[in-house]
Amino acid sequence: MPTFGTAELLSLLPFGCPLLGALVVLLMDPFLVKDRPKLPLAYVGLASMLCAWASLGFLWGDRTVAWSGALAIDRFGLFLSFAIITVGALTVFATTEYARQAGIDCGEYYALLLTATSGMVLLAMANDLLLVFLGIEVMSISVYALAGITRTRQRSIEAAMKYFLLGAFATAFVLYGIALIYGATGEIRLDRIAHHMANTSLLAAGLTFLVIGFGFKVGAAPFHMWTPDAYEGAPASVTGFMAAGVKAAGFAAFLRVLVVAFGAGASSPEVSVVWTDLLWLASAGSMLLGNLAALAQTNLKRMLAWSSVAHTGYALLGIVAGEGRVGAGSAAALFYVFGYSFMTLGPFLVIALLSRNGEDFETIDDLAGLGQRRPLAAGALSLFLLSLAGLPPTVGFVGKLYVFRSAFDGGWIYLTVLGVVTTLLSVYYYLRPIVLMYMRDARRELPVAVPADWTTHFAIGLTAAAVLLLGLTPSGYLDAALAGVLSLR
Amino acid sequence: MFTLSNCIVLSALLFAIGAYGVVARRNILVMLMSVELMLNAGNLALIAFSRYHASIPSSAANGLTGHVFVLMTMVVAAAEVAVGLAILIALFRNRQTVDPGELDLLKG
Repeated sequence: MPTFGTAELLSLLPFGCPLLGALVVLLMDPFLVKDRPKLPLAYVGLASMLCAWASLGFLWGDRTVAWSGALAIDRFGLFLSFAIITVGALTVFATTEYARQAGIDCGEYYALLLTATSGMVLLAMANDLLLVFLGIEVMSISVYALAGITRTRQRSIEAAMKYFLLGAFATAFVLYGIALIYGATGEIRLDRIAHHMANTSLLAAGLTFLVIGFGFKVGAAPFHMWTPDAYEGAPASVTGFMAAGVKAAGFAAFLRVLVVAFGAGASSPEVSVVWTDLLWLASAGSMLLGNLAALAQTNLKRMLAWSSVAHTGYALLGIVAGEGRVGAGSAAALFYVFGYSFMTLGPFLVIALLSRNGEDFETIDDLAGLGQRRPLAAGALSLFLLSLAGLPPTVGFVGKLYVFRSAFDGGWIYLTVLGVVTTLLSVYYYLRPIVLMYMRDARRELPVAVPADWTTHFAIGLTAAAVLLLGLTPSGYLDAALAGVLSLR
Repeated sequence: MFTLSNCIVLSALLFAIGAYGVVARRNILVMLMSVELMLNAGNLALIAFSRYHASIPSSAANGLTGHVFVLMTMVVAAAEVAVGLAILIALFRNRQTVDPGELDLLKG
């Protein structure tokens, strides 16, 4: 009879706290006064996120596994959980006014944000394929519902439907891949799969299915079709959460599965060739397609969606470069995803800040004149866009620099050149909104700030500070990313 | 009859039929059913492999992993289809259509 110690119970906290918070929120909701802002729910959500956040601090340390090896408590998972929980906490806390105006200020909105965060953290900590599957599903099912939460708005519900259909399709690929990997090895624990002599062709087939499924989840070309529609249609607060959280969690599981179970140290090294080939193609395709399609967009949310496809390509480039050797490339990818989650959350928070009565402020032309009317919002948005474009002194620059350097060192010269060229291309569409904000007069009446916006202002300030801080003093976080990747072995 | 290879071939066929259904059919309800078929193909493969691994005396695997996995998958699939149908109902109320080709507000 296995016994469970305190350490194992503590390991549940990072995803248990948000889940508990979600239950409390749902129980509290009926007892609140109708037609009043549901601030208590947001505060309960925030409190549960802070508990989860604090628990990461205790658990930080050398790698251990809990629950018969199902959960890994290591720096890798905790590092990305830190970003995920921060994103979740900022979304819950900062979008209350947006949610009230959009008519989604209900228990379900906060509860779904919390369950989605719980699934993401589970995904980042999962050490066997069953928990990877459960994490993906807890996250995805919550996010499908969130994307369509403004259910009377046609665009929102259409986005949810498209996201759901492709997401469920991808889930089936993940499950079939897991089944084949289990068939080849008889194991679902990632570290045991690595040390198992297996039927290589079955394993390679399973891995291919798994990579396709994950490719859908993180929005890598050619499996990115849902991304622009889902990002454009979903309410801005949800889009920011999806862009930052879902991507970070998806990459956490993606990296962990590839490095731990199918990395160069595994007993079937041939399979690492399979995923390297698949991923470099996906990386090149995402960088090209994402950046080219973003050039033509007139809608800010849709442009950011295509840019997220492009950024998936850059992160994948890091993973590809990490193949074969321990460290640099995977660490660069990990740092990139970590930084990306902040710089992509920011613009969506600004959109949420400027939106009124559930109509998202999302056309690029509408931004004209924002620099004079709302200097702080315009400044923050400019900072986020510069970071996405990869200009110093922001985290986008440092992240891209490390990814490109590790790719170059790894011998992926053409892919690095493609990355640099597409980055230069991307500067055009990131600078266009900035030019409009500062050099044109307003075409329409711009929304004025109201006192209830202070939480959004606060969160934007925090996110902007993170983007700058990570860009100016990245070394500590880079070391943490490297320690995270090394803790996988 | 129920050999490993037969079961795996059957599950691969189910998966292919499901994938074809999602790609080719123009009715969201049928697409949902096709996704369920794909998930059940995965379940069948898991069960078949589970039995296979249990039948090898030298294997460390106890053969229960696959069974437990399938139970979890069934719960998850039920939750997933519940959300999917809810979204579909909300969509139908707005648009009176179940044809994914008519979902064209978002494009570009």
